[in-house]
This record gives sequence, C-alpha cells and structure tokens, in this order.
Amino acid sequence: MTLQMKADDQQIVDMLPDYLNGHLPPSDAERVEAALESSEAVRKQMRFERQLQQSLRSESEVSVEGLSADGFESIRSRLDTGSKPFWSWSLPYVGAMAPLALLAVVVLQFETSPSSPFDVEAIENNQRFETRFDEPVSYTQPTLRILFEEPMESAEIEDWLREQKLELTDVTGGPRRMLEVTADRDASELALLLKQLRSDDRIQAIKVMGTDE
Amino acid sequence: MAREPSGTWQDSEGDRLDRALLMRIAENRDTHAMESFYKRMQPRIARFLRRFTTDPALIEESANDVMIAVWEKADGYEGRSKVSSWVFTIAYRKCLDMIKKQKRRDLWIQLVGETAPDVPDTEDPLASDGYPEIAEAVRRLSPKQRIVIELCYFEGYSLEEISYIVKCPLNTVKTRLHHARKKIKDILDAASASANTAIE
Repeated sequence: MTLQMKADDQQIVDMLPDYLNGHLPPSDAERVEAALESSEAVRKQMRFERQLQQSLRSESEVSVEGLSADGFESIRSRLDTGSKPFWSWSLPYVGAMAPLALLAVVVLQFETSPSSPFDVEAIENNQRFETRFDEPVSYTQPTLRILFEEPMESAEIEDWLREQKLELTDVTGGPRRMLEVTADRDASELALLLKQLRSDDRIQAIKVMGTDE
Repeated sequence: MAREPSGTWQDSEGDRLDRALLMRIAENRDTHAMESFYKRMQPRIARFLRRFTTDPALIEESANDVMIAVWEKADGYEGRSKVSSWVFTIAYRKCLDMIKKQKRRDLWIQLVGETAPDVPDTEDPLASDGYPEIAEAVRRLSPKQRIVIELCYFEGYSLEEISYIVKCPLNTVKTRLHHARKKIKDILDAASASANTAIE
C-alpha cells in the first residue's frame, strides 16, 4: 500500500529529527506524538529515522584507530603563547576609532609644528580638524573656536578676552591652546571681529560655530 | 541568515566546563586549559572526521588543525551557542577541505593505478556496524548532505544548531536533510528491488 503524505504530515516529518534528539519544545513534541498515533505515513517515517540514527550511532562504539598516541604534544609546539597581535582584537574598533585617530593626527601636527604655514581658511573648512572629541551636539549662540599658535597662560587668556570683549565658554585642545568664546553679535560685527582676529599673529585657526556664516 | 541556537544548552555541565576552559584560553593563553580542552574535544572531532575518510593521518592532521584554530580564535567565541557547536563550525569547514583532499588523493591513486603506500587500510566505520546498505547509501550523498546527516543523526545536533554550524538558513538545512533522506530511501529501495529480482 502506498502511503500518501499529507501537508500536515510533512510538517511533522520535518520535526522528527529534532524529536528523535530531544530538542523539541513540549508543545511540538505533543504534536509529533499525536501524529504518530494517527498517521501510518508518519510512523513509517519515524521507523526509518530511528534506523538511520541507530546505524550511524553504532559507530560511536568504535575507537579512533591509528591516531598517534602523543595527542596534545603533537600540537603543543604550534601554540603561540604570546599576546595576540594588536590587530586581532583591534580590527572591529578601527572603523569606530578612525575619525578620532584622524583628529588626533591633526592636533598632533599642530603640537609638533606650530609654525607650519597652514591656510586658516582651509583649516576652517576642514571638518576633520574642526571636530572636537567632545563636540557639542549644537551651539545655541554664535561661538568662535580659536586655536592659538602657542599655549597661553591663564592671565594672558583673561587679558586677551577682555581686550576682545569676548566671553570664554570652553578651553580645550591641549594646554590652553584652543578656546571657545561666545560671540553674540550681529553679522556685520561678527565679520569685523573675525577680520581683526585673523590678523592676530598668535591665532592659528578660527572656526565660527552655531551660525551659518 | 543562520540563526544562533536558542535551546536549553546552558543547562549542560559539560558545556559550562568547555566555556570555562575556552575563556582561560582566550584571556590567559593558558596551555593547560588548552590541553584539557583538547582531551575533551579532539577525540570527538576525530570521530566525526573519521566518518568521511579512513586515512588516520588525514583525520589526525585535520582534527589538530581544528584544535589549533580553536586556540587562535578562542576570543571570537561570543557565548551565544554551545562551545561544541562553535568548534563544529570550524570542523565543518575543515571537513569539507578534508573531503576535497581525499578526492584529489583518490583521483591521483586512480590515475597512477596503485594504492598509496602510506595509507593503512583501516576498517570503514560505516561498514562495521551491520548496516551495509545504509552505509553505502550515506556514502553516496553529496558532502554537504552527508555532513548534515552526520551532524543530525550521529552528533545529535538540533536543526537550529546545524544551521549555525554550517552557516545556512534553517530552511536550507531542512531542505538538505529532506533531499538526503529521500536519496537514502531511494538507494535502499533500489537495492531491495534488485535483491528481490536476483532471488526470483
């Protein structure tokens, strides 16, 4: 007699290997058991599954013959016990760190060659340089980010701010070399201020934050 | 995408030990932990590989390559599967390589027309179990079908775990298993029909 497999039975048959190995959750196991009671086609398939499993597993009694007795000793010399090379653990982080590393390189350039002939306008347009490690999400009022050629003493900074009528909001980028100051002025006053600051030999770069200018 | 197994594997005492050893290997490069891990896992890998070749040298070389890969990649284990499943993902690739090597060697033997002198003629594990017809049928499956059959019926992995090991979607595993079983049945039926004809 030919046993026709119904669509539902086929779904059950797909579950039989997991049922046989005890991997099915109880609800699915109950479905399989119900099908085993009601369907001769499923029972026949189950007999085949068991036979296949028994035939393959009977081999597990056979030892692995012919393998050398020294086992682990045969690979001991191949185990590199040193620290893993840095790229083995750092690769996943390289992508995330790349922008920060780039910024560090730019900052380092400023640190090591303060008198290098940077074009201030070019630097202002260079997003890599302009992005701080702790870049604020947004500026609520126009702010100038100013990079000095040399680190400034606190007293020097205070004098300079007073002279320029600017309010300090942040000091960053190494030892008093990069400042952020509030420049709450209208467009023409801001343009004038920028022109004046750009003529200051002590200043290496300026960026206007929090405004479209 | 192959799913990561989500069964009750964490309850296994053996797997807890495997994970502890693997952690010591990954974090401390601990050769004593590696030795213990080797003793636990290498024979199982070797038995699995032996299903696909009778050449002890090839089995040993491949099983040891798997263990070296474990040593090198231990920090890549993320704890989201059984340790043994993770080791079998490496063994699976190695097994496919080994089958290719075996085929090249068999082809070479055919071409040269002699038996390779350095390969002892060991007993076929499938032929020794009293089910020669099933052994023959399983041997005639494609390597990928055969590996899925072995992982399921010999190693006892769930279909979800097999999906993780062979890096295939669950449905692909089901399909592969379905075709493998059908092929085994067809071969058995044909052998049975042929035997009946011979008797008549």
